[in-house]
Amino acid sequence: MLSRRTLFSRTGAALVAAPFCSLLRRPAHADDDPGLRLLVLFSPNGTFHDHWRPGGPELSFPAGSILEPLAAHADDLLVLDGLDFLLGDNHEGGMADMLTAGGDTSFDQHVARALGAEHRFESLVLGVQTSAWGGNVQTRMSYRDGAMVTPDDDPLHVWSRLFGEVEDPSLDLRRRSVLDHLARELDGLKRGLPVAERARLDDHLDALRDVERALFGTDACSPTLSPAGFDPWNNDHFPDTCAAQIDLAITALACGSTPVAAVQMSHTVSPVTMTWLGHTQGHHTLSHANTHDPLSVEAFVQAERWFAAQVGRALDGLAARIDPETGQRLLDRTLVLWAKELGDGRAHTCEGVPWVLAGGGLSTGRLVDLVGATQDAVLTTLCQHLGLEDTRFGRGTAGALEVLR
Amino acid sequence: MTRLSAALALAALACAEVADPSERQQDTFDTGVMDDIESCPPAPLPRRLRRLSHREYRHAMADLFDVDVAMYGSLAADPTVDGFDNDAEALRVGALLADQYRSLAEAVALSADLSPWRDCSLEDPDCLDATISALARSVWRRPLNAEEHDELTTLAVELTLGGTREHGLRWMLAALLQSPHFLYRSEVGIEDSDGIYILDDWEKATALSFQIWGTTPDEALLDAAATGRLRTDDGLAQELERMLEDPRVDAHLTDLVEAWLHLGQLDTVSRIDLTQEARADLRAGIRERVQAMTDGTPSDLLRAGLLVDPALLTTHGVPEGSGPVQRGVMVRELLLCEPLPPPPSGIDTSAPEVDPSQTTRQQVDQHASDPACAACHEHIDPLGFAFEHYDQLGHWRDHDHGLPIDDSGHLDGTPFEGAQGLALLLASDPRLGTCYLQTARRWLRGRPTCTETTPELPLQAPLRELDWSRQ
Repeated sequence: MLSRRTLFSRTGAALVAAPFCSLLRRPAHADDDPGLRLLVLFSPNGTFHDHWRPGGPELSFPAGSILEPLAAHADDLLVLDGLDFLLGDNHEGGMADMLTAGGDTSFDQHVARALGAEHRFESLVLGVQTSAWGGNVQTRMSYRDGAMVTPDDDPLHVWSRLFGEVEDPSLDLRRRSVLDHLARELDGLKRGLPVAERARLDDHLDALRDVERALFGTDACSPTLSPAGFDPWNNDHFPDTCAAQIDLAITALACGSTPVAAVQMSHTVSPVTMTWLGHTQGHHTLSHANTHDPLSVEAFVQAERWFAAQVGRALDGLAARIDPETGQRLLDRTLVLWAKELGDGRAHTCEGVPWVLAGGGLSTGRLVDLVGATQDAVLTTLCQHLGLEDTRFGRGTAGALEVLR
Repeated sequence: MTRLSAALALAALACAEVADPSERQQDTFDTGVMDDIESCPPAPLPRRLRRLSHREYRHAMADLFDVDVAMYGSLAADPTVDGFDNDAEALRVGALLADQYRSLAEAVALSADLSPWRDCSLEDPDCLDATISALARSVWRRPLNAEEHDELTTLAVELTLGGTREHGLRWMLAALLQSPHFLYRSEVGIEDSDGIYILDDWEKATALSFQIWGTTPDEALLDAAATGRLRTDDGLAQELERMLEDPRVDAHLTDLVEAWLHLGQLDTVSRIDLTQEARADLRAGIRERVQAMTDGTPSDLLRAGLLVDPALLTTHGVPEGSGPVQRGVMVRELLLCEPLPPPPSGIDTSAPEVDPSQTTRQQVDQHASDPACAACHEHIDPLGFAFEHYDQLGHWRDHDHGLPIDDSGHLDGTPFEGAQGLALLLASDPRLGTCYLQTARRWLRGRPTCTETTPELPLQAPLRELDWSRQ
């Protein structure tokens, strides 16, 4: 856990000060690096399996079922049935364990470290109304060395990080001087501090290094229209915020700002009320609808179909773009994971958690029965597919799952 | 003088806490249950850097430069620990926040009115020196040493880059505002004896200011530090007296009550028929009512109607209807400081079928008939039923689904009628004052603390608890 911190604390000031801008170019891929990108999507509060499960092994979608909005992408999907979490249980455990499998770094951040070193952003973690309860075990899915990664919930701010900087050499020089100065101050302040406080400042140095890369790195991005006209913190503007974040994530993946993007739609125990569907109950309340209460069940299924349609939006966007390096659809060059944190929301268990994979050159178009497998094995498989050398993930010991390849 | 004796009598109440960071890390994965408050003996606080909470940062920027930084952009939500967003151990600077600090610092530095620190012409070389010294003392809450002064002067000249000296000075200010010396409150101290450290004068001034006002020290307080007055009992008493009479105390205590009752969530909860304007009005209304009562005790707040304040009831509830479970949890966890575990996994938690011929209470009462539910809900629902006459906006309703409302309940066996009845019971319950004190200490110190059962103290009392020693 301390390896990267330690490395950076030794070389911190020098790294921040070094002109590593020249390194920030999308590298030619080594022969064994498939050069894939990763997009992780999240939606909360489990599912109702009898309304979710598609027909298989060749995918088909019953009318009115939760995944039906993805029918147009059936050939691009790999739907996982029967997946259990290694450790997590209940809302909180499920959210924490989902992408970490009990480890201190989540799948998205682990991949970002491996693939993102030479991009402006190692990863972009975007959120849709994830922070009203602050950052806690219910509201965060991305972790790095045990620390939560805060999603950027503001599309306009994301846009300005991606596109907002005008070319101005003297501005760049001033910012470099300030960053160099701050790195020296942080380094100096560490002397005489207790160890825990030194680690805090090492994190801060790391963060400045990320700021520098984002400011001075290069990519092939040209500005899209800036997202405007809605309030990202207003429940009723959840749809606009979702759409904007998904579009920004795809744009950033397409133009090489980052190889890893995540869009976390709300969080576990989500209180979002889909007023745009006419709902008067929050999503978490609906996720506890009684089987014999058809109106509430229907409302929950509607809500889940709405989330599926957001995933569809992402797949549409990726399918419509061409990867400049290979000429393939960007969807074929981007591994997509739609993760959830619970199986049946009413039982609060992490069994049969309904994950969906898409694109990325996987062998798609299938429903896969994973009964008996845990999510660390799926994550190990995905790491390997992305060119990483992991043989297990988190606290798991399972190797890759051949059935997914 | 009575205030000082109170302060000294209450000093050194801080508790030993596990300093092992690996154990602290676990906190981010736990269920949010509060630390056991009974078992921690008094001990000096750890030597630490406290990153400014977002609230403290906004207040400091407002006091220094008369700006509302919210106009320039947002700040990434911090981790919450035990429900608090100012836990010193958890507050770190990640990539997103560092970039937000950068853009806010640039925006403020390039537009701020610098006249309070500069009364000379920058053409005069001494003027740059003097202005840098003055600015840094205000922003960093301490004077510069010679080496720092040289470095910042060099930086200001380097940043001129063909522009005016003023430009260089403003960019240097952007660096001051992103500096760890501004963003972290130092509680590192100087060694006093065998491994025990005490805060230096400037650290004391900073600790006093953030504890009593929730913001950066003013010039008078910095002057008191500069002249060594905070080292003498009389000087300290004088300063405390002055600070406690400042209106900033009332705003700060109102922030504390807001944090206690999770009122910040009012800005984002989803409630049917709640407009954006109404949210703002509700928040402003409860702030005004609390702010008028900061000389009182927690019970005084309850007797004055805090429990049925529409802002509180809107914050804690459901999108439509009353929400007895949510409101019961609010009373149990926030007012009594008795944390509840989350519903266990593996049991069927599906809600009963909505039956329009039943009241909310009748439906929620099904918890009582299922032992798996009753184990926890018997501590929740009988409190929450007090609010059955109030809908999701805290508006009075005579009927529920057209049926008469029963708002009787009991607090651990003692019966009451309605919200007013519950308020009176809570107001005479020693757990309320103890819970407030525990919450206030947690919030003021940014870490778990021990709290023995105490007679009820005024809201202001925790502000006077001072402790300068560190280990």
